[in-house]
Amino acid sequence: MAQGTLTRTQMSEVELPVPGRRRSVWQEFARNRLAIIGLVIFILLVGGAVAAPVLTSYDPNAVTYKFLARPSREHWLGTDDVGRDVLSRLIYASRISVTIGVSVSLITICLGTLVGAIAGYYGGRLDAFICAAVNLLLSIPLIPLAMVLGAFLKTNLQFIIMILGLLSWPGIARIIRAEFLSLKEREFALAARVVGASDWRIILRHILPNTVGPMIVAATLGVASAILAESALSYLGYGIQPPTASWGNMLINAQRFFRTYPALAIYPGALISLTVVSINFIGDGLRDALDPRLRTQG
Amino acid sequence: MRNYLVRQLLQAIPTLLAVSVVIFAIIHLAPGGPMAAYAMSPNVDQAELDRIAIRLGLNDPLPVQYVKWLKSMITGDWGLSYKFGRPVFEVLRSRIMNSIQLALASLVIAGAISIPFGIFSALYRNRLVQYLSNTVAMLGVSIPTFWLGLVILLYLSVKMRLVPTGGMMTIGKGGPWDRLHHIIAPASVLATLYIAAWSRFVRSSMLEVIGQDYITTARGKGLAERAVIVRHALKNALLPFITLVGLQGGGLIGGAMITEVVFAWPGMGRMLAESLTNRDYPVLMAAFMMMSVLVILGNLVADILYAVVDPRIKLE
Repeated sequence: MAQGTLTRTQMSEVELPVPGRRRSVWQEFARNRLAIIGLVIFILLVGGAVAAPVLTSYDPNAVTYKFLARPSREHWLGTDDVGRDVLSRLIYASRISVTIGVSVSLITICLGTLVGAIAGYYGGRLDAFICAAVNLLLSIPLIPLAMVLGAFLKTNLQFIIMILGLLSWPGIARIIRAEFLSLKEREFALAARVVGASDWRIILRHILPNTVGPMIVAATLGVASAILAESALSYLGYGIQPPTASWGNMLINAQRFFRTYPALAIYPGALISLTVVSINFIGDGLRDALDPRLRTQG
Repeated sequence: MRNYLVRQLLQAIPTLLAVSVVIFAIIHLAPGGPMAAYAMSPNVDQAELDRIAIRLGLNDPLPVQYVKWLKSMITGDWGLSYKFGRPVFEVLRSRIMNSIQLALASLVIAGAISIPFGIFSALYRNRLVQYLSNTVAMLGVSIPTFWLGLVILLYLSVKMRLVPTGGMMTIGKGGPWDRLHHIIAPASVLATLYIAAWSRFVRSSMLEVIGQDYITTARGKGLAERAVIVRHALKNALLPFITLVGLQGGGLIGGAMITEVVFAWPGMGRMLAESLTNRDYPVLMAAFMMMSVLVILGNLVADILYAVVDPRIKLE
């Protein structure tokens, strides 16, 4: 084998760019099998959540006389300790998780991007102040803080979304700030300033569109971490309160009734894991699809 | 070098102060106020409540209360627990040590598994290994800790009786083997998340380092592959890893709380949860403060370690 050439096996590993044809982001994403699987699962889950009333034949809070029944024709996954149909509760709980996940992620992205953009663009004392605030929030562990806030304020859906959103923005703010710090020195930004564009215009129309890649990835992964945080809070008792079904609070009683119906401890957690895994696959796929492309666009 | 350390310390102090303000403010959001525990008892009449308020200094303006509380925190007089009546410091002292034990154990487990795993998946580039390691890492990050702990507890402990159901030691026994027996399940559960996250990180760090020129030089010198990896690549690949460990310490403290609750491990996190239920605000504030201190300390240690290990930082 002549030196400098690749063996056949090595060639099969190297992804040679197809000359003359650039793949779109979607095409790049579609080549990632895991990401597509994740997307399909997630779409099914969201579909199930939206179509919950159609899919379930029982009210998730309706109490029957069959306690801890095993799976049967009437109750496909059995019933829980007060006789509610497990399957219906699981599907309605998915609504809560999806709602909280998406809402929290949206709030986090909006708040975090705004703060990060201002800090990165203006620099100076404003940046120092914002960095101090970010450090402060990152020094207090998330779940204990959310727990205490949930205990002292209310624990309805809106408050949980607010609390989690207000505690999660520092992460994305850091990323956006770093992007802005490097992007604002690029030629296109300097050119816009020379032309006399206002600060806002530069931020919104010039720099921000270039940060869309990391933003999308962070938004996707933010949904996953929001779902995990909400389920942990609900399990600890400071999230969604029973009788409203949430995957987290469905696990609260699982320990006590393990002997009678052990599978009760499996279903909610398995669904949480499935949801989060699928979202993580999507996020990973997005990250791979968006990253190298954006670097060449600069 | 010393300037760097001093600078880091000076940055940590205002953060600590700010954290204390936030914690103090949040506690005073509590419904019923700091006196809630006393006010709940039907035997306590209003005159008694007023006297307690004066004794605890609750009629002073808030900033004054804050300064007093801060001073007492620093001097070590953390007040009396509402529930136990004992000094908060006493109540928390053993708990903090237990939490640190658990955290260290899981750090050790996580490091011991993720570093070899990451190196392995960096070096063996065949499809199957990559696929497996990617999927396993994904799963580890996605499975909620409390559920994993619950399932392990229920199956390994209740069903198979391999591991104790909780707590730190068996009554009447004790000693290192017993402690090991009790710590292995919670520490492993806590470590799972970090094994998954760190092995990916070690892998990508390793890949980056292997692509560097000095590795090619080392190979060109004729060093055995193993020497190349261990003596040259590994050290440099592990540098950012240290910072990562320090930075993720914050999550470790929070995650440890959940694991402690599931496995009934008598640690600081569980104490915080219990004190919240009991409205035991002195303990709550102190535990919260301690957690944040540990997080900030972790970041500091990571910064220092990084400076020690990477000579380039010392020159800044």
